[in-house]
Amino acid sequence: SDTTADETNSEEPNQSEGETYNLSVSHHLPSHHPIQTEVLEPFLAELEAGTDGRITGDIYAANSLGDPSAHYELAVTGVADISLTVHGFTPGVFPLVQVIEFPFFTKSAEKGSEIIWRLYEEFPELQEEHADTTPLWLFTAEPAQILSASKPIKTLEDMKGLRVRSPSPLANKIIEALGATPVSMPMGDVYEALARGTIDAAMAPFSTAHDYNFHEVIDYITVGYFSMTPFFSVMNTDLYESLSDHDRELIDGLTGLKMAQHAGATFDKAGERGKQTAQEKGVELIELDEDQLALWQEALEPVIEEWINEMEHAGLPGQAIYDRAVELSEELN
Amino acid sequence: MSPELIGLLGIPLLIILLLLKVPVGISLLLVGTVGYATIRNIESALKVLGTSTFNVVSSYNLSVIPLFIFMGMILSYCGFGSDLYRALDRWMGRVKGGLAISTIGTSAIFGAISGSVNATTATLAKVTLPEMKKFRYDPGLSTASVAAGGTLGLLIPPSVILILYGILTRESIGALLIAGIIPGIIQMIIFIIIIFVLVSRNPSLAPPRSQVIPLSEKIRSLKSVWPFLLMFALSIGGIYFGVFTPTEAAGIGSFGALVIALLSRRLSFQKLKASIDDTLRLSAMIFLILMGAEIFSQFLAISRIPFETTSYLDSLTLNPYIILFFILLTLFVLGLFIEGLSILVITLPIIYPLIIELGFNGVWFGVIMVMLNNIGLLTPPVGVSVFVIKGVAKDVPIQTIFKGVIPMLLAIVICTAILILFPDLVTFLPSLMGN
Amino acid sequence: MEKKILFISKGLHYVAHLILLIMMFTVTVDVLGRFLINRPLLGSYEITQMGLALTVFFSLAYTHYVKEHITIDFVVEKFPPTVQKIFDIVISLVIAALMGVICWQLWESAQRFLKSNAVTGDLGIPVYIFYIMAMVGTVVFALVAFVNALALIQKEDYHNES
Ligand code: NA
Ligand code: NA
Repeated sequence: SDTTADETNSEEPNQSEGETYNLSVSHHLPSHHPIQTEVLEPFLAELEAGTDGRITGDIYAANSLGDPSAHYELAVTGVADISLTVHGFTPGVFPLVQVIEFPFFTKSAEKGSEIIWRLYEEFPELQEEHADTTPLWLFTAEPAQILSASKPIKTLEDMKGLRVRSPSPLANKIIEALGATPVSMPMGDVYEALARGTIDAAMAPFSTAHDYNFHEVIDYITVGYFSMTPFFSVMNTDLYESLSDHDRELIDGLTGLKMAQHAGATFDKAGERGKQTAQEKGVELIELDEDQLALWQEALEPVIEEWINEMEHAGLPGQAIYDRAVELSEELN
Repeated sequence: MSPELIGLLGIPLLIILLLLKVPVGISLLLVGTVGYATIRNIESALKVLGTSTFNVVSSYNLSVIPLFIFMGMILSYCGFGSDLYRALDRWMGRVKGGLAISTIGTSAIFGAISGSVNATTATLAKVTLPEMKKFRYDPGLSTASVAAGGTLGLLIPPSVILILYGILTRESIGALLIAGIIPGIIQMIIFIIIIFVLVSRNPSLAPPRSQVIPLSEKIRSLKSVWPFLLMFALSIGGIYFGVFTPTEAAGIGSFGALVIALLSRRLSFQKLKASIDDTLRLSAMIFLILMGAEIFSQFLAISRIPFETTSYLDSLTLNPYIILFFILLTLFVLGLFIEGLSILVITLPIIYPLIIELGFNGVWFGVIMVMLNNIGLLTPPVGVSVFVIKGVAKDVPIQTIFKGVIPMLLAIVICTAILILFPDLVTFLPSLMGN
Repeated sequence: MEKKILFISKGLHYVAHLILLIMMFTVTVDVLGRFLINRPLLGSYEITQMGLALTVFFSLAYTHYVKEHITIDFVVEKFPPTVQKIFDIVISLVIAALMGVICWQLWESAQRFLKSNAVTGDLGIPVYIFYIMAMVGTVVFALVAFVNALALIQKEDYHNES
């Protein structure tokens, strides 16, 4: 960010006085994605308004500043001032964030985002994972469903032997526990893979049915509200610390829980639209009933246990954070 | 200085470094880093250097490049290329200019399994030039047919240039590879017609041959064609029918080539080593340029030049075809002096968004860029294919080769015009893939 | 000295030979596994990915040694031999310096990845290990360029070899 010093010490701090910044904001989504148009752009607009145009920003969409896997680094090193992407693109760096990927916490991204942000505020260990940057808000996409190319998946039995696209390493284990074979691939490759039978199904949220045109290549969606994918939006710490008190307070006020919920709600809206598109195009929705869900939950218990053990072994509060996530989800739903 | 001005200064600086014989990849790295540091700051620029150089080469999708090159190298080192030429010659021998036409045919089939134009051209030159010399073909015609034939490999999949185009623009690599098939066939037919016409008008270019080859021998000669057809069907068919990703097709393809070479008892340890050696040197050359391209395009991105160019030209509301004409003219002029891969990485960050904004199809434009690249391969002062052939045909003056390829250049221009007039010829096959 | 550097760059290049073969077999086993026994090979994606990075970094130096990194020489060719020689020396030194800087920055990245525990997705291999291996490639590239400059300085006459 280019900065021009502007010494001021007036009695009443004026929002138009102070250093000027042109923030570079990087994310991996396409530039027409609602996370850019309805979250990042309004955020920058409010920053600009709150500083009389002193703080502006340029958004670099679709990885133009670096690969998805480089995005956390971009903010750590200050190549980008703000970086927004999926935690899972940098495996190993954020072990505790994975807790939100366990199925059935909630049906909405707004609530999922609130859970992950409150966990962030409560657990110093979760803050430690992001400590190389200054997190502005954390959030989640809406929960994944199972999008199936041609086979209706009504019971746990139906999952046996299917090749299912997995969004993350933890989801690999979840898919295996459900009896299917996980196949890791980026979202951009899923359409072709479904169309050609390279995979039978994909674990992906409703919004993808519209945003990635998956409605064209699937016949069924099994609705179970499975894994939620966590996202971060973080700022370079040197930059954050160089801000004036006024600017920092302004940013703090615009971000945090409020923004987490807004980003989640934005995903929920996209999910609703995806669900509608799918239904209009004749995709059949299969709702899992309580009895079935209980079976799926049961199948997942060993994965949860394994994850908790793994965390505890690494000296992290796996049990505590999982329990608290369950508690928060009960509180919110 | 504004970021836009710094971005604008970066381009002539890059060209100066290139002309001073600084390796292309190094020039891109230098200008990209210095430009980045000037717009932002030196710390950021250094950090980009420490992550982007690694990130760009730790890529699953880019692994397709060495694997496809490897597949072609194995078949070439194990002598399948010369077998193929002899087989086609058995069939075409008595047609006017038959050996030259066989050369084009061999290029099309050999180019079909080879990802690299230099490898195809060098192999073909070694195999076909002595044969054509023996039958007293005009050196201009024989070298020109090798040069022209070599360019087919960049249209008929797999093609390194199209793969790189896909990587740089995020267009589907599978669709791009399939898109090259029909243009490749059209281009081959135009080359053959041109040779036929040239020899009809001046029979001394290709003295006729009288030897009659019995049908049984012709049929027997086809035996050597199957490894190519098999490899092509396996790898490109696999991509087309969605059985493999391009990287998988390349991996399976090189493994298959290895198995074929082993089964036909042609593979020696020396040949395996030589194939890998060539593959790696070619790949390292390509990837050093790609590392530079990554840094350079990040520099251009933060200078906002691509964005400003697009919105400026947009505001002029010119006819898209007029802008397309100027883009092609720019590519042509660059192609006179600079090798194609570098042109691709230097210009795409600016040209590609523009092409999309103008409403052209991104896959179609990839094929058009290959056509321009092929022209550049054959034009002086820097015509890489001509240099490669000159390296093999040491007794032919370079002017003779450049003069000989003029009709072939005409053929490429005709083919390009056809593809611009009928874009469906490019987009038709890929459009069938999705469903 | 020159011989030692050549020996090392060739050695790295041979390691890259092996890695290319490993990449080929990995992809093949992955695809066959998917079709024949419905079991893709775990980690094939990242083996191929990191394999490519290492083959490239390990082949850069040798490719430079055999002068196969693309240059455009039709302008410089027209200059007097002494000028060409000076150009070549300066360019070699610039390459050596640039590779040194890249190596240093790869080291900085490696340290950050070590600290943040970044690992590969399926196999959980620490990412910094690959950065350190890449550093080896850049060091050898820098040395090859540096030795090349020294050799040029010592050489009396100059004629274009590329
Ligand atoms: Na080809
Ligand atoms: Na040229």
